[in-house]
Amino acid sequence: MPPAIIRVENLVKQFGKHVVIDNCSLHIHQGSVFGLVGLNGAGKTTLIRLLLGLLKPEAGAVSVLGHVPWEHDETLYQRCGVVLENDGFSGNLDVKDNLKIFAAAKELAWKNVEAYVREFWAGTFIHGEMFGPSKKVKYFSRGQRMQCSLCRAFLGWPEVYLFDEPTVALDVEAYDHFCFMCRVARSRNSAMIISSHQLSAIEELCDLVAVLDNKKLCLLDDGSEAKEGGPWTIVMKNGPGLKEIIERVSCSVASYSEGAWHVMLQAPLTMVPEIIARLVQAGCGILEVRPEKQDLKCKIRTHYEKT
Amino acid sequence: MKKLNAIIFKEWANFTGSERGVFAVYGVLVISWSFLPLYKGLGGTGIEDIWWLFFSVVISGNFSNTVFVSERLSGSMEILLTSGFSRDAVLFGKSVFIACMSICIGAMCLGLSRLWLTLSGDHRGFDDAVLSGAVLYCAGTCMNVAIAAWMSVRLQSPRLIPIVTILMMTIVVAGFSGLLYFVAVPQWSLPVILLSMASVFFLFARKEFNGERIIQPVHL
Repeated sequence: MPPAIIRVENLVKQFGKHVVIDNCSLHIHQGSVFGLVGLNGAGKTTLIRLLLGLLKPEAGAVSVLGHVPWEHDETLYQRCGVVLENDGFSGNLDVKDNLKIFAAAKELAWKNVEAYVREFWAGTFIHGEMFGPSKKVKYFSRGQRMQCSLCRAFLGWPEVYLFDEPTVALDVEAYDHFCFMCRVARSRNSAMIISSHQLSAIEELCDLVAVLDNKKLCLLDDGSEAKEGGPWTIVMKNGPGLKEIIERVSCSVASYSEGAWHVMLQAPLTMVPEIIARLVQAGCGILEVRPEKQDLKCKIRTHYEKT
Repeated sequence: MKKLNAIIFKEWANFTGSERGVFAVYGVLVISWSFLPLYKGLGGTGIEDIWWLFFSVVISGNFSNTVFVSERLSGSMEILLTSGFSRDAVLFGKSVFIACMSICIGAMCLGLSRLWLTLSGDHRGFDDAVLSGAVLYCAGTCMNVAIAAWMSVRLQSPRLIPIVTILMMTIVVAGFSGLLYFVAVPQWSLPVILLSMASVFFLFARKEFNGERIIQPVHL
């Protein structure tokens, strides 16, 4: 397993007497995308601020890329891409001048910034603003400002990304582009934390999801669910009398749609090849076997029902 | 140093991109204030050209509002602090910008006031009195900027910054005037006192910039 580049051990944060985070631990490894969900006021933004050293923990340890964030080492921030509630752009400047400032902060050569925008933001309005007539950021819509924030966050391809509600106000194209950028960053072995109420984004991008509830972090989905206990969907060719055979062999109810039989199998990974072999022996033509993930919304609901 | 320059550039670009009305206000301020030196003899206190100090409060107070306060009001400070700039670069970059702008405006005001004097037949030019006034203005500006930097984080209501700044300046000037009344203190000691206080306030500001309070929301 790659090394954990974000480490949180027994973290406690309180504001006055009000405890917001109590004894939380978290390890995030290179190349993994961690989703953080929770009710309003649960402490997601506080956790991100603690990871950024904007807040000082009362107890416990935080380490990001081997740095203690509260020590405010600027070299740590040069290796982080951040999206927070406010975009931090100077309204009287255009995108180009704003990016110049943040490129200077990360000690990036301007030609590299231009190359980055040309390569990764072609076709977006940011490309047009950079290389064509531009207007002041204060005249941008909220979604456009968010795109600018994302463009800045991915600037220089940092090793760690901390995103607080990165998809707010994004249109469909911008959202898809954000997902694309996240995948590129992930392929570069970066670690990412995404805090969002947009569960589709979390589901699409994250391989580890936790809910911050009652001051604690509870892991919802570590990607092992499908590997361990399913469910699995097996899609089979149609044929005479196959429904009964499928149901008998798989011990599950088969449904017919789009010209094929579908069966949802709740079985451990070790059992799946054996069941498939039995189905094939019984004359079923297997078209597809895929793990089915439980809807994140359902998992969160289940979590809250339990607690 | 590069990062300090980037912060200064950011503030400069933000200022030059302001609405035209902002420049008009500064223009009116400079022109109207430039007539004050025509009234000589504020003496009695023994401090010549004391009006410079209060002009520095007005000018640096205006810049502090846009540079320190608006950033905290909008919440954009936390992005600036997590983008790769050191906290010292943010604090001192902003402070240097305010000080430079205040000094430039002071110089413009000074130049205009000399022009009015010349036009009125007084050909003293830039004599020692002008120089001492300019030094006083620069020292006063440094103290105002340091107080504004500190108070922009310390105060929950940043609209009080100009009041606190003018209060501090009044205390210093009144104290110095009182001292002059009883003891023969050299006049150059006032700028030295102002600069020493500026250093102390910068230390306080630095401490606040490295604390949690810097990201706490503020309201006007």
